[in-house]
Amino acid sequence: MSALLSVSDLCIDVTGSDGPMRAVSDVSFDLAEGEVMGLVGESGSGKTLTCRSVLRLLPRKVAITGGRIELAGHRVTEMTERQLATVRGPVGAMIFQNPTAHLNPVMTIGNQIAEPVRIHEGASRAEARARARDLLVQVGIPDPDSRLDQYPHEFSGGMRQRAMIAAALACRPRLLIADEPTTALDVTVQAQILRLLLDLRDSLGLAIILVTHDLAVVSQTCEKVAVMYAGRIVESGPKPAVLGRPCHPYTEGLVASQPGGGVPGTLLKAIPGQPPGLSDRPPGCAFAPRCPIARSSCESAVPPLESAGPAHRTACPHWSELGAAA
Amino acid sequence: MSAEAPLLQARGVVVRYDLPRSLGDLLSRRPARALQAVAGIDMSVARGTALGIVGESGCGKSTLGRALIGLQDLSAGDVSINGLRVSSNMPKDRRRSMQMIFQDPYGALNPLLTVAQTLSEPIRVHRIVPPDQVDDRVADLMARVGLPTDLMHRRAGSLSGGQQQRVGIARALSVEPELIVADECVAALDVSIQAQVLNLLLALRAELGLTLIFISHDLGVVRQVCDRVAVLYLGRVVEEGPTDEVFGDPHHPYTRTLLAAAPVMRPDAPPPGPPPVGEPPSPTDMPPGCPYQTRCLQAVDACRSGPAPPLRPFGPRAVACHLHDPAAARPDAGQPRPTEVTT
Ligand SMILES: Nc1ncnc2c1ncn2[C@@H]1O[C@H](COP(=O)(O)OP(=O)(O)OP(=O)(O)O)[C@@H](O)[C@H]1O
Ligand SMILES: Nc1ncnc2c1ncn2[C@@H]1O[C@H](COP(=O)(O)OP(=O)(O)OP(=O)(O)O)[C@@H](O)[C@H]1O
Ligand code: SF4
Ligand SMILES: [Mg+2]
Ligand SMILES: [Mg+2]
Repeated sequence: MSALLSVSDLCIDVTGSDGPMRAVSDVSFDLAEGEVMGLVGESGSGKTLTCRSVLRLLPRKVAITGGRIELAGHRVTEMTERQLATVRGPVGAMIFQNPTAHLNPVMTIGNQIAEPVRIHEGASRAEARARARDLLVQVGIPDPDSRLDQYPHEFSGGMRQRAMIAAALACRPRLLIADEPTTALDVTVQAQILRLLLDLRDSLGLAIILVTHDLAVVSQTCEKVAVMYAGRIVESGPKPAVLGRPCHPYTEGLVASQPGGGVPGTLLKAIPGQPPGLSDRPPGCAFAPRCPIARSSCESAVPPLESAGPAHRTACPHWSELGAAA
Repeated sequence: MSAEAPLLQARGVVVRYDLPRSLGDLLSRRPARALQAVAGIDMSVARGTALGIVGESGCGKSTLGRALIGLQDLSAGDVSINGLRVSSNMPKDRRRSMQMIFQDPYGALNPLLTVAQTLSEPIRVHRIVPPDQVDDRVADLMARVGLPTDLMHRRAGSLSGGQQQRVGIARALSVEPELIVADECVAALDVSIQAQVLNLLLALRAELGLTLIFISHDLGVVRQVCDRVAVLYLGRVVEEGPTDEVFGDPHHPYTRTLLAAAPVMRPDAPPPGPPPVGEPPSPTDMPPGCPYQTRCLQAVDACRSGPAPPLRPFGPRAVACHLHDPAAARPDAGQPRPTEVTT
């Protein structure tokens, strides 16, 4: 199976008050048709920038400074804005954590879904409206005919998120990037949205990148996982391997610090310390200051990714010392 | 259960919010409408324990949390702490003994004050330590919540959400309260920092006998931290009891739906099943009978009329569901309960 999306050696810089700083370094991953990948990691580790760069939707002062992105045969990294407009929507689409900020408050839900269909496919008004109606049904919004003519404020939070998914699906993309799509929602609504995404994968063969910091969500929805720390992927591989037998001390710490598994009232296994900021990332392994098995060699050079099992890669050269690996 | 009187006792607590009248309401002289955010809650919390409050967004968790420590006027009912009634005009020293960690740390901090100013002010006002020791106390608090000391002179407004949340926690701890209401205090934090903050609260409980009311939508967090849990649905407690019993063997259909929907981290977890049906009714337009009847897969005729089912105690637990017969649920009777929901 050839990859639908292939990201290699991606580097992203952000320009601060004292010049450019590296936010994302040497990120590589592949995603096949119909595959669901979880992208997890600490806040500020570069998950959103990595995702946005796949469709070149980066904010001002943020630029791709290295690497290559290929999406369904398109060299995204080399395209002009004009060419990109033909990729965003029909090939890849993105949904965001906060639907309220990404839906137009003064445009009806129906028009927001139908507009890209008219632009990209030259569909007539009636055709586009019919597609919008089908999409609302597909994402499980009851009573679609009257919902089409409502505005975002008339929808509940969960329904707004569904409407945004409907808009993202309007041009039948092959890749959906979902950046924390359920972080702001209740567990019951979250369960509805995750089930919806998986159903769409099953029925349309959609590939999905699911950004989240919730390992429980990843464990239920993803086939593979990439873990980011301080701008780099530090571990990646099949979900059962990465979560069941973590081969990077950061992943191991994350898994161990999940609340709810232990005896009530007992202390959690917390990772001490905090992740470094953009301007104070250490020269070697960025996790070294917090790592229980770090040694001085960890602080001198960034460890490369190495194999820790079938399709399982880790950026810790000392992974074989980890508890679960024994 | 100990014979000691509970630290906190709430009886029949009701909080109504008056809704703004629309122009149409004014023209047609319709009376002002009110939203009942907390609809008659009784609870008691023993000293040194942690009570979790869980439920969907909008079910009244924050309103109840504020009402329990006098930060919200009650429409009916009363709350007492240490046997004394809680009110909005308590003396300074009683006020100090009950603190809240707010859900929205940004809204609860003055963005123009530095971290040191934010933390030292309550210490001075309540004379927690002699003036010459205030700075040491501030540094000590920052270390406890894991804030690097180089943030001491940064303005609160320039901190990240997680850092602001920790300032909020440090400020609540600064006055050495007996009771803390922690409202979604780790929701804004990364998992690795979340564990540090939860450990801090657990340690304070063990060391100082702190009593906690812990509001969270994260059931895993509640399970880890709380001895008891109360499940809220639209302003009412529908199930209450020891956390391990309620989570291990939920009796109310809503508790079961909530637990089934909450993802659990397991390397071999199967994909989520069919999601729960429906959305809660609008709190301004409640159906008669049980508030959960519009989504309940087991509702019978009795659920659709009359008053809401009362919270009936049995052993250390209580459930508000017509189908739940407390007499049949004695531990030795093998816990019969309504047929399993196939969610
Ligand atoms: N527009 C911007 N200008 C400057 N710096 C930025 C910008 N966007 C992101 N950054 C920085 O780049 C780094 C990576 O940010 P990114 O948003 O990708 O993180 P993330 O992993 O998505 O975090 P979160 O979980 O908080 O969403 C962070 O240090 C962030 O502060
Ligand atoms: N100041 C207010 N005026 C009017 N209505 C309010 C006010 N504050 C809350 N409400 C309403 O009261 C109900 C309960 O709100 P509350 O904030 O207590 O819920 P919550 O359980 O804390 O929700 P969340 O999980 O989203 O924080 C909601 O319907 C809310 O819209
Ligand atoms: S009282 Fe009836 S409607 Fe309410 S939860 Fe119980 S069974 Fe369902
Ligand atoms: Mg992000
Ligand atoms: Mg709240």
